[in-house]
Amino acid sequence: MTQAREAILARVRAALENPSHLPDAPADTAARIAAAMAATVPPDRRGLANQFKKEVETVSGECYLLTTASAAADKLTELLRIAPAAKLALDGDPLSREVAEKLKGTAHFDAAALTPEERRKRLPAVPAALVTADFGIADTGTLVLRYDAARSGWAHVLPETIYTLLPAGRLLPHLQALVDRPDAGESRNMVMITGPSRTADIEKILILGAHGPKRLVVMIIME
Amino acid sequence: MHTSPINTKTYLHEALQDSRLREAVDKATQTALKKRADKVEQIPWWEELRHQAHQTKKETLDHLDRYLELFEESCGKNGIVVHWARDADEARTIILDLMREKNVRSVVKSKSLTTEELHLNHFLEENGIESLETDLGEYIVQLLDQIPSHLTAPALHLTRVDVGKIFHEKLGVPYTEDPDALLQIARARLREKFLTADMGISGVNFAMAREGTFCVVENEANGFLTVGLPRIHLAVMGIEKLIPDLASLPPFLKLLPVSATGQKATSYLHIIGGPRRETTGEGPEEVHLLLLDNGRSRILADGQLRETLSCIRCGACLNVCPIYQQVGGHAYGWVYMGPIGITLIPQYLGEAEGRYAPYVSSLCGACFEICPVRINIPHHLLKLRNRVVETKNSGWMERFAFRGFGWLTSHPLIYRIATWFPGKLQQLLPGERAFAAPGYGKERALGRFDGRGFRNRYKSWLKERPQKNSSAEKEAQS
Repeated sequence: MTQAREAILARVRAALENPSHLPDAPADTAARIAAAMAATVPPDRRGLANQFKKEVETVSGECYLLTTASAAADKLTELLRIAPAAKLALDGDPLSREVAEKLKGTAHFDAAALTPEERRKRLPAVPAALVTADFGIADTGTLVLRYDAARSGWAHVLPETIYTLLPAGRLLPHLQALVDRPDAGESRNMVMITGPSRTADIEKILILGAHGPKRLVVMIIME
Repeated sequence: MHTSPINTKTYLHEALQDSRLREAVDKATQTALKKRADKVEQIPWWEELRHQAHQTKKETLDHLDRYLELFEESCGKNGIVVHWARDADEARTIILDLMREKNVRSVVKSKSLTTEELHLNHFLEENGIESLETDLGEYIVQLLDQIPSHLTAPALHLTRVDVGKIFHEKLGVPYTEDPDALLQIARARLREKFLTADMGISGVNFAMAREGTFCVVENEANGFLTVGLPRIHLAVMGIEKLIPDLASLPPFLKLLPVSATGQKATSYLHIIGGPRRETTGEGPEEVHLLLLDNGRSRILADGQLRETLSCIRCGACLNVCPIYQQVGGHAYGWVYMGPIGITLIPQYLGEAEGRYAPYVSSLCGACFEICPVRINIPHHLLKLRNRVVETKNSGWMERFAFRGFGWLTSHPLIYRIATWFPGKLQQLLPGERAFAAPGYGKERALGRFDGRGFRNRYKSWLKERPQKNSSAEKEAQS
């Protein structure tokens, strides 16, 4: 293996002895991108929340702006009345637990408290999960989950319907703002989710719910 | 090494005869182009993003040795095991040894073109390891024992009727052509596999050298399950997939989904930087990364053509190509197809085997215009055509014709006779008929020679011009 490593690096070095003839970008490119992007950023938290909602709806997600965690629990109770779930799986986040405890009429269990083997069996069998996102990216309607906390990532993908809580203070204008955060490098494992899973592999016809969730509901808590 | 060329001519003819294929490809490419255009309109700084992405790739490729070493070191710190493979054979051996050592019996795969270079599925099956494609399009083409016909939409060449028949024949389910019902059949079969497979194999879209992480983009959540459920994750990447760091990733994640599928963002983007998350016990116990050369360092050696290694495999150049639109991806006869494919075929396989590829283009330039990383494909095709000629791999007819033409143009008197003669000879043909043109004339009519020839017409034009000019000058003065 080291042989292959040395051989490839030697080949690459030999290749790079030939000078590059690739054209350079205009010098002000990065500055122009930054300026153009800055011009589209909404001025306040509500603006970001509205932009997020609009974007997630264009990718067939649902989104509600709610004042408090209690209001989110009421909204979720209402949604579960329309689309009942025998059991709701929680991802183990304190906010998910807080909201779940205020729910009326739906039983829930904490997936993060199970062993991975039990989780693997139970999560595909539950109809819905209640999870919390670490960040929301407003210009694409994207939810960000960092894997470092003691929460279940599988809860975001195995059930058919995912209810996601997102405190408005965690909204970022765009992906660049996320990767430019000083702590960006600390989360080595991350997933970013934009709408429910989908495919258009047959005649480019869009179908929701490919191998993952069919329905994604985001509840932004404004307080 | 094979030296007989890929049989492009035959494949192209076959594709052109298949009206159902052409209808499917036309519909799919037009839909994709329209969706893309709608989204590009919403990003006024699109051109700047293209420049930026090109610059990032240039920076990485021009210093690839350093970025490879940095990446390896960072991966090591994150607990990712890095393997190096010089070619496809070596890659297959590494993969099989790893599987045997870890007692891997079954594999789920999310879409990876690089593994198509290795013919990995066949190889694993031959060695008694079940390897299932999980992307719906890939799953369909795997059932047919085909390779993908498009970089991002593997089953683009098939209609729902085709898929219904394939599922009925291969899976024994009742015939249906409802896309949703077909998806449910695949989903049910694959869910079980995700939950029980020993290893997940993915490709890599971008790898961040400084952080020692890499990213996988997808829409179906099959990637999520592939990288998240099995106990081992193996990612296979070409050495050209590196970028310097996480901070340079966002422009690519704007350009790629818009160009590929007309989405502002893909449904899922995974950033992977090591094994099992200790706190939850989820995710793989081990993450292995295979760095594949397989001809890439050879491509890098040309200071111009190395640009073709910046390709992010979005497939936009396929959708916009007037030739791809007519024939689909299988006519190109290799893993990479369309405009970018025909630049890669002779570079990977050599001018002898890939001698026809650079000619499967009208050089219209639409591919360069649409390319999100500004690869100047038409320009590179000219250079590659030149190489085919210089390595004496062009056809004897072509060589004869151009040598003859070169000789004629350097002998004016003979040239004059040779161009005067066909015009006169043509007068012997009855009515308005023109000379037969084998090949060309099959679908089109060749026009009659003017008979006067360029030199005579130019002479008379010169005679007429000063009069016109002087009268125009007089008008202007008065």
